[in-house]
Amino acid sequence: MKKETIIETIFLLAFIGTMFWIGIADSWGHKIQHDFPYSYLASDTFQHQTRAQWIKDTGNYKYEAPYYSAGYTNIVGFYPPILLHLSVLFSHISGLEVYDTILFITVFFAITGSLIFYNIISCWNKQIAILSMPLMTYIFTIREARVAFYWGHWPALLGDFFLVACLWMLINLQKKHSGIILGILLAATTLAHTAATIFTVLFILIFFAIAVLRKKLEKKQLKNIIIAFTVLLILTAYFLILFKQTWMVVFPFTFQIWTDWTGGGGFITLQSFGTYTLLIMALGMFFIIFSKNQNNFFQKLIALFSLGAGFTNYIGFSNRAFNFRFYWPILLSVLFGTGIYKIAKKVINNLTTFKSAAISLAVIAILINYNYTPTGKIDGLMNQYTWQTLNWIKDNTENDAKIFFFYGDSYDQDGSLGNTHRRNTRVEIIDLSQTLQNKKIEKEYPTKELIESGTELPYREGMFTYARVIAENKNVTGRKIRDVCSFDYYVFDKSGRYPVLVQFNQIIANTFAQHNFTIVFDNPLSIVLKNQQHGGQCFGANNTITL
Amino acid sequence: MEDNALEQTTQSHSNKEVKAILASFVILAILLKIVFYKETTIIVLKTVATISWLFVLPGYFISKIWQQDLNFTERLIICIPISAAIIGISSYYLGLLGLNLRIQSFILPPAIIFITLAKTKLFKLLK
Repeated sequence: MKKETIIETIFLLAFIGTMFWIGIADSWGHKIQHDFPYSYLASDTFQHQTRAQWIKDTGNYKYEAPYYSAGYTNIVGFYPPILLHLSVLFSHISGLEVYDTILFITVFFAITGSLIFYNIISCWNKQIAILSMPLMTYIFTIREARVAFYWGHWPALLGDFFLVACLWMLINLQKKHSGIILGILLAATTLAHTAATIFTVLFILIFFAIAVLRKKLEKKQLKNIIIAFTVLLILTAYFLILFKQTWMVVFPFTFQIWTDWTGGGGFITLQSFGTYTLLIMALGMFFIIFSKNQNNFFQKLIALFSLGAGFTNYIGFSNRAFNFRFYWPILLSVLFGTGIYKIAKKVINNLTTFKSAAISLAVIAILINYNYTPTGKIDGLMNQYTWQTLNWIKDNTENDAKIFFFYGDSYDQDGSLGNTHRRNTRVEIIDLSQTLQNKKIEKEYPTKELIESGTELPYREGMFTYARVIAENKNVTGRKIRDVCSFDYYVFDKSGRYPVLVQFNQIIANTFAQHNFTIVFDNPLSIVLKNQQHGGQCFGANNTITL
Repeated sequence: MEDNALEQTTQSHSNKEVKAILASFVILAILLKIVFYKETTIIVLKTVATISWLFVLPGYFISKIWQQDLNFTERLIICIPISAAIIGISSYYLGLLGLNLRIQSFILPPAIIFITLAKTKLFKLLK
């Protein structure tokens, strides 16, 4: 092995180790296997996890689980499936739980994405590729990028990963069978996060338009791209038909300018990189644009395209542009690398691989020291007692039992309740606060059932036609006023962030205990009561509990 | 004679590749053991074995078609998205056709490798 290859390998290993450390190992307490979902900070994370668990339990993704589909058993699996499937396969082989594998592979793919992009840059200049790596660490240090991992924007991250792989394939389009492989990778973007396909196809079109203008389009490349699009259509036809009749109907493309994304946890902006880093990137941009070097055409195009695509929120691409920005630390890294390279060249005469790697590692150390605060273990929304309660319900209640959750700190992010594998409804906390002011709670109360109603519960009508339950019956909805006494089991937490609400739980639980309810499960955090008189007068004769 | 020499070269190349893949496995295991230092060695080994089984081996065999153009590290990196894409897409459709994911997890990677090798052999024979 050449000395240079050894240096490069050691450098890459150090980079991979660092990325794993700041990406997940620190917040996972340096363990891979956990007793319950770890570092899950939003409902979406649980939404993906419970769906993947359902696929693991049933062995396929023909249908959605009835327990998050308002009890319907014929709701067709409508979500982009690739992340879910990969996490289940990983779980089967490794023996790890799906809640561990799904987050682990999302981080693993982000790290691999940075290595692929390293390879794309090194096709032009290895030193610049090495010096680009420090910016890639931002994917785990910028708050809004970290949110993507811990709030569950996993499908978008996976879509961006396959987008990077498509870029690699595009630069290697003269290779044998590259058309087929590009087609498969394009199909993967569709089945991971369909928006990523739009950006990839846009890039391909721009790439080819420029190649035509520069009279550099080769016949072989054109042939391969035609093959790629044919493969893409064949592999995604089934899903795209479903997508067209579900996602595209419920969320039709509308020209929406987004400048905020509070619901998604914020988004990366150029300022997120910090002033000094931005200056280096601007320097890199200057040199890349004005360089007469023809070898960096592709890398130049990617940088400019990525910058532009990230701002498409101003031309109607809504939050999809923000999804794309998750990978900015990787896609814009060539600008940073070029900037540092130009500075280093001024100081060091002979910039070897060894020197570049040393500089890069030093910059990585400085940036991490500056940008990254060691998190220590982040349990997230789940804890051992809630997990125990949810699993008890799963293992000990009737399959068609309906569960009601009164106040608990984590129940508001209700995706986690899917882990009971039962239909779940929770009390609306906002209304609960108002109730406290009125000092009484009525039997008919504002509640929310966990229903994955994003695409209005599609079901198969014909071979290739789908109808939607909610479009036909508006009464099927998560949020509505329900008879609180009509459930089979009730979960009450005994402690929480809001002591007043906990007290409120105790009063209701005591009232229930006087009306034929029995305690069937108890742990230090929660109790579960069983309703022996389904639909009865659980609130007493007046159907009201006075606080 | 020439055929024999060619076969020997191919054989020695394959041996080198097997050693390199095994070395990568060991290095990744050591790396993950350092990063996840509170994890048991067996879990780390299982994780690395799963990464290799699902995301490395199938794509690595497919990328054999580019072995003249790419070095080992490049192939090792690009085989991951290729494996993930092929395994993920096949798994989705095979699941819809009724093949349980539990079974898929053990037969999909070798099936992809087998198909790749069979196709290469077939091409050689046709030539």
